[in-house]
Amino acid sequence: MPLLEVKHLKKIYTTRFGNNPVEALKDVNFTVEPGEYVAVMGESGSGKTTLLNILAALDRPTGGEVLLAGTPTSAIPEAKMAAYRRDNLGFVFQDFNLLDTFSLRDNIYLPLVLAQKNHTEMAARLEPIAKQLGIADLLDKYPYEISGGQKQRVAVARALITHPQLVLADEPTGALDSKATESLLHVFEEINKAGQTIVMVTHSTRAASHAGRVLFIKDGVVFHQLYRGEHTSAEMFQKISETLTVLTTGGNSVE
Amino acid sequence: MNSRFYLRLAKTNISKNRNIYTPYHIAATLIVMLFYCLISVTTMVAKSDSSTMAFMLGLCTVICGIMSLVILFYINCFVMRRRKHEFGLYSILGMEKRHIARVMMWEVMLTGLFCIVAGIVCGAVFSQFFFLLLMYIVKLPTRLSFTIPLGGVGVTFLLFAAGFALVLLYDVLSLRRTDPIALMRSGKEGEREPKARWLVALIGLVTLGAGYTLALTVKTGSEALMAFFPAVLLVIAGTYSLFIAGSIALLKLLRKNKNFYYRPKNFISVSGMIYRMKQNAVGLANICILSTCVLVTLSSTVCLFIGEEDILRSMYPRDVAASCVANTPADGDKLREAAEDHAKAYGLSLENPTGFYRIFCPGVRSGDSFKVQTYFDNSTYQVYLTTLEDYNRNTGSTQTLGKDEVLAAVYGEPLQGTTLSIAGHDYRIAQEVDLPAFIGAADKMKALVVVLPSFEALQTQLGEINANLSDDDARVLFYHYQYDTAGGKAVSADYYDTMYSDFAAKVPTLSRVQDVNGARNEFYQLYGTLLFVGIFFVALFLICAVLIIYYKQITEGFDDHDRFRIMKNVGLSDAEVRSTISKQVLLVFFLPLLTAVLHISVAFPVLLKLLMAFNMANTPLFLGCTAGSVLCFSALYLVVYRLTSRTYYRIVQA
Repeated sequence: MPLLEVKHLKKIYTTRFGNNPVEALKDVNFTVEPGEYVAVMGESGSGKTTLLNILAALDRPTGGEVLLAGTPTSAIPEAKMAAYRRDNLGFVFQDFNLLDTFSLRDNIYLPLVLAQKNHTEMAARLEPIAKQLGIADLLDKYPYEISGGQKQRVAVARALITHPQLVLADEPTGALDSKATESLLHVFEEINKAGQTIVMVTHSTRAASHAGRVLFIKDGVVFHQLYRGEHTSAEMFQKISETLTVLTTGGNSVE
Repeated sequence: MNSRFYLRLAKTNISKNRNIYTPYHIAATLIVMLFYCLISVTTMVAKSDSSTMAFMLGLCTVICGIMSLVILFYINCFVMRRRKHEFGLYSILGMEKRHIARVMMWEVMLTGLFCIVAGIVCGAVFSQFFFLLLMYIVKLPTRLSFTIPLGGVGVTFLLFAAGFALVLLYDVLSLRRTDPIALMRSGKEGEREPKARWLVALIGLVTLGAGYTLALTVKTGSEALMAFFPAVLLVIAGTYSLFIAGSIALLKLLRKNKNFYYRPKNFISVSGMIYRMKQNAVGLANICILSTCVLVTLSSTVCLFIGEEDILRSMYPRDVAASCVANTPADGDKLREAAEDHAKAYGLSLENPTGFYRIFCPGVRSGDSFKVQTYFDNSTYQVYLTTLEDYNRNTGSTQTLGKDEVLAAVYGEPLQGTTLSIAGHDYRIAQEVDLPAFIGAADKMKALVVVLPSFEALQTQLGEINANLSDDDARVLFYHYQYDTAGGKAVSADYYDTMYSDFAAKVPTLSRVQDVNGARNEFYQLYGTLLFVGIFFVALFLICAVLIIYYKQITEGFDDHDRFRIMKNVGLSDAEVRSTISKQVLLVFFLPLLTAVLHISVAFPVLLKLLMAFNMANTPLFLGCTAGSVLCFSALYLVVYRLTSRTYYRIVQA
């Protein structure tokens, strides 16, 4: 059974002023198997952030549905939504979303504290993750004391500590320099190898080239997808670039 | 760019920043109004002939004027801090500092003009009301005459015009000192976690403790007078350092307790509060001090006003108090007769007369021996000497005394032996008695009452006392005669007016005649004006406190908005957000109030003793007034909380 199923997803925004609705997602369909590492690519305004927000249950679709491990997210009552998100999903954001008022350790603990886990269990969970992400020495510092790359690793640790079924990443490399990007992508690969399912939204070819599969979204539909198979990252990079070229130049002629 | 443009921009700015400017405008208008009312009431009072009232009101006007300007400045700082980002944006869009300064000038001019004019107009409407209120309080008859003293308008206008000009100057200068990037970034820079300053926290604890101890250990009124201001200063210092450093130290301790800290609500509150306290400790301490001021002013002025009759009665146990120098026992008889004749002439009679010979002097005590000195201070006893005959008559007892035998009563250290020495004269204490009420010893002051066998013994003692004193400082033996007037008829003013001259004709040694009626009028004017002035200051304090609270809520709202957005992303539900917010807001909000209530509870005994300096000794009344003030103030505080927290929630959940 696929971990994530997206069926005929549709999202229409109506702006407050003027009543011409904007169709962000037209008809999106795809599935994600357990252990997969999927990158969703598209230009600005292609609807990829909308898609991620719906996957994260932060936003409700106008039509269609999302099933996580067979359960439609629309079936979860509003009151339990926050807990559901906390237990099943991990988030990594472009701007890290770390709280300056907490030390890094407490930032990572935040979802567990909200889930009322006890302190010894939290510590036990954090240890291997911190070691794996190379942030074990930083834990007592504060977000404003560390670099962007380190912040994003902390954010990844926070996403992983609940042992979520699915990690959703929104442009995780968007605010990082190339070295930090490379290192973060390596981290993603590592955790994916360890069995973690990841869906990452990005418009960076480099970021997408590390994924196992790349979905291209354009004008609210899944336009194309690439499997990595046995290709190396460099080859994948090449293929994605070609696809993007087709999308932006040749793509127009399709319509 | 012509000047129209700047004016238009200024107008837009003010209306766009409505949630910052509206409270500013309201507050400034109220302040102008209060000041104008005060000054116009003072002018109206000055026209009538009450110089005490006019003087007190005049003094209050000056203080009120200074406070108004300080508050104006304070609000302006808040407004400017919130708008820094906006000014940064203008710089980046290409406006030079002088252009921004011109916009600022228009903004301040518009604000100032509006507030001054609106304030004076409201003031003109309300000043008559305040005047009537004052007259009602001091129980003076009034003729209703609506006047707008032009001098008052002028002074108000000039004062606040100068105030706003200073505000503008300050704004422009502070603009000059900053660069656009800093302006843009202000408020966004990652704030460091505050360090726990244990030393400051400790100092706070010590100063507060010292202040409290000082307040709780005073025993007498004069001690209270001496200790009050040091205690107030200590408590203020303690409050500030505890709010600033103590709160953070405490929160850090809480954070160390892992089982407490890692619970959802505590987790967010404690860490948030650490930052909150860093930014707001001073504001909260200000609110706390202002609240305490409000409570102290309100409770004591109301208490004095309500307790007026009590005070009057303690100072004038009888309607009339007359006294004359007694060189012979006959002098007392003369005074008594004069009083009786005077009453008879008006068809009245005397009731509850109390007459006694008395020497009153300050005595320095060592053991059971008292030396007389020329002045009263903290350590002296008030020594009262009287005769056995007077004692027996006025207390209804039948004591007898041999030569050099006395009855003694003491308030303070108990007597140790059976002998007593006054100015070198040794007496045997025949019996220790209770402090007799008729002698009129001040409440709760160290006092010694000695009853001598006879008038002659009293005269001998007087000689011994004065032997060591210069002629200027010599003590005098008085005869005091106090009585109520009865007779069923209304007592005419004439009866009191002619009293002194009538008595003086018959009693050559007459020293003074006081009647409760004249005193009552003075009292009403004194305490009434105090209450009136108190009301004004409470109003000012309140405006200030409410504004600090409001701006604090707004500032925190913007900070918390981002924090709570992130927490929602990480998995905090709306309900959890709301409950966390309300817990935090409640704590921050009511901390100053609770501290203020604590302060006033501790200050209660001192205030009580201070009021005794005004001869106000009615503890239940003061307790009632204090409790009433606390209740009223808390209710008001709650209303302010409700109103401002709505704005806060709107900002956080936007």
